[in-house]
Amino acid sequence: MTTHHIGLAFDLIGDLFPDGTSKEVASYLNRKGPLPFGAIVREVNLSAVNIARSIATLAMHDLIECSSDNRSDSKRVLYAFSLQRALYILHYAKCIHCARQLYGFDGELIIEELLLNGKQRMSTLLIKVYERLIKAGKDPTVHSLQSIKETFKSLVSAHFLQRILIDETKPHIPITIEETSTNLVQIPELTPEGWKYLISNQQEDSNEPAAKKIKVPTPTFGDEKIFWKVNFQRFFAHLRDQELIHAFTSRIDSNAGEIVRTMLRLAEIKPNPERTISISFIDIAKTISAAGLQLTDETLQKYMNVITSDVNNCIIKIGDQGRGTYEVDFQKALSGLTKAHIQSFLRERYGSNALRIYNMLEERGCLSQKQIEDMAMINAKEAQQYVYSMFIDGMLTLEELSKANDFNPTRTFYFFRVNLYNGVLSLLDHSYKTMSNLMQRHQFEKERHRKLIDKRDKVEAIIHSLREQNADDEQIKEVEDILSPIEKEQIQKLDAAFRKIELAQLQLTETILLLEMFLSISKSVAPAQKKTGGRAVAAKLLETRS
Amino acid sequence: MASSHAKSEPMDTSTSLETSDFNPVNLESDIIQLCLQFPNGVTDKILENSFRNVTIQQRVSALNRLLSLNKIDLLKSSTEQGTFLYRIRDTTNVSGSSITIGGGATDQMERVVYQLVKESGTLGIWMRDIRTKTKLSQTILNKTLKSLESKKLIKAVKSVHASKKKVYMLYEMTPDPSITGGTWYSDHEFEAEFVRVLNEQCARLLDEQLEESIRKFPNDPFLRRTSSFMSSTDLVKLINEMGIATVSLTVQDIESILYTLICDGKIEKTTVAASTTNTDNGTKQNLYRSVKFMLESSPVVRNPCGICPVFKDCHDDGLITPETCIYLNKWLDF
Repeated sequence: MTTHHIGLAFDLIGDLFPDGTSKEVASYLNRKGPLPFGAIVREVNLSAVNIARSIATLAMHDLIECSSDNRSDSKRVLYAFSLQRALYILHYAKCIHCARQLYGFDGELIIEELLLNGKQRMSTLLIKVYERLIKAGKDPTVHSLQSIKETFKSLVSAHFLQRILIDETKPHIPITIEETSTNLVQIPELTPEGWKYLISNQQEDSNEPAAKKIKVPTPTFGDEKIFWKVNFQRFFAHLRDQELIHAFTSRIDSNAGEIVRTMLRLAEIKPNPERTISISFIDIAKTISAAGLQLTDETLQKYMNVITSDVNNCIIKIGDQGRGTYEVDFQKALSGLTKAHIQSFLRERYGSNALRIYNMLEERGCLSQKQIEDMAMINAKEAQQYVYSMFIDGMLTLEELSKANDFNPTRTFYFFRVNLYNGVLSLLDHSYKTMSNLMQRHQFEKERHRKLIDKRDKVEAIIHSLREQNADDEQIKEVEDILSPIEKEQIQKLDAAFRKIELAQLQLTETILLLEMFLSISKSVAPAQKKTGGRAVAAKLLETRS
Repeated sequence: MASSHAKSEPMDTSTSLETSDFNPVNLESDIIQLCLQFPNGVTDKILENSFRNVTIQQRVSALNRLLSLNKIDLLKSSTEQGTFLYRIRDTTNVSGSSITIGGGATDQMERVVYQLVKESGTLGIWMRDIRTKTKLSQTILNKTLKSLESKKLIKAVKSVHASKKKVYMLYEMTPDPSITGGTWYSDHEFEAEFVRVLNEQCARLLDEQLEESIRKFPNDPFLRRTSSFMSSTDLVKLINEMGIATVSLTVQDIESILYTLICDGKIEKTTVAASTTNTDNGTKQNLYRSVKFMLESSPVVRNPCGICPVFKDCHDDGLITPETCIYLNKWLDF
């Protein structure tokens, strides 16, 4: 909940909803906590209608949560802003990309529509996606309604979409309940009239694109009360798996990456954030051969041997049923990956010597300044500098152990310790601020070169329309010459700059996701407190061994 | 008692004048014999009991002569308060004779200080410790140490860890490695360059081993892993053969260099039981292997904000903002 965290969340909301009302309402709610509608209208300087509209939109996106006021028995509805959900906006692009990779163009559009609209019924979704496909010029026979529905079904069965019902018991409050897992995959059956309407629309579109349609009242589709939304946790788990596979590929080789991919896919059946279910060797072997990778059983066995001893020991062999049963421990995997991120951060920012000190401290527990200087084989002055700058950044913590009862500085030991949790917190904060910085710069450059960009867009639109009308090349060239060569160069530079910024932002979201997942998975484990004494030391040894 | 003795003294001495010629010498040798019998010291009482026929005056004079001849030491008893012990002095101490050349009251102090310095062996003893043990004042102690140094009996050695601290040890002793720092220190300075060169060489050797193992076993990950290990003894041999260091390095030294490489994240270590090939091995052997990074670079540092030195001063509006940031300008080619 740092300043940068909140700042980034509002930047994202401002991006997604360009008019300022949503941002204002959201920031007001964030400051004051859950409030009823009346209070918001009184304080915020906007018309009640606008406020109501923005609250409705934000609620559709789950950015504002509605709850009933339990203290007073009144039927007031309280609106609360959800900061966590606001940050999910960062990952929209990645989710869409995932859907594209796994489910093709149809999947991409489905997810995109859902992300832009928050929640939707299946029927409306199908219609919209179909229309978009047709407009984009895709072949309607390949991307028919039926195929879109199939993609939808597969998305639901893989738990990428979540089903929601309106809570009937409290009719005045628009609370939605999320379905239990049994109902989760039930696709609503569309009524026959609804289906006929859709099909007739499809045929009409393909035959008479410009004909006037007779106004037919839209029939009921049978899924009025069933809404769908994107299941972010599932996407995040998928992205985390990608990172893990990538780590194994770079550590061992691509075959190991493939093996880990199959393991994770087999474990997708019952998603559990901490540990996967046990997967037997036979299953892995079967799936690998089905996927087309030619690995003999012995080679596979050897690979499993090597894999279990890498990346922080996150893949563990827990038994011998089925020629070996393996599990993936996500806590260890995430901590290994975040450690790699922190190490890379320290290496680039302070130098490899600072990284050496950090790793040394992690292994030895706690060391005093003098011991660090001796053990690290670095100049004493440099070592001091590194230790203190890492301390300021939050990667190390200081522990005081006093010889006497008063904490006289000459008679106390000062120990430095590595605290992974704190380090991740400070790195995450750094990433949030970097993200905001990049967004701010992007916005600024867009404003600065607005005229140029507008000009370029106009020229492109003219050229596009000329091309459709099959104009001569000369005319097109004339239009292109509206932009002078200097301007063309500038535009090129600008485009490259924007691309760079966007690429950096995209890669940064990967890190942010990883760090956030690590924090949420280790919230149950409190950061290291001051532990002295024999029992504490033994407990710590057990912790590191297991 | 004393007074009665004193009164009777003249009569005693007059009566035993003839016998007193050889009595003192005999008495001295007797006392020495007694001291030899009790190497831990002879108390006054024992002396009194053994030489009943001798007067206290004679005994005292004999003792004084022995003390001045440096044959015995006068010590205060720690078990009984107020009594004195006489201990035979170790005459095999050659330097003892050289001290006596100086003479005077400083003799005793020099001897005591010298004894302490000798006891400290190769580690040496700090001046403050000498002071607490001998309870001499600062100036007198300084004078004593200076005179001992000029006689080339002791020397001062500067510690490499605390540059102001000097320890004293006997002239002939070679200082213990913990004071001079060992292989990595020359002239009380840490040789960072030397350590760095060794670091790089070890990393390079292990990298070559890894590449070779990849070439040999492209299809077998397990063999690839096991053949890319090198033991610390092999590495020591190779490094010594390469001749980078003027002194030959021990396994211990190389292991500390390899430890820094582990902390750099470039290698990993395993310990196995003794191999059968190497005969002069202990029960454990350390194997090292070069590893690839899990992550080439974190996205946090792929943009200028990650390594910006003024990151904390950067705000939405102010002198340092993303909009006018010079690092971003350079990065975007503006």
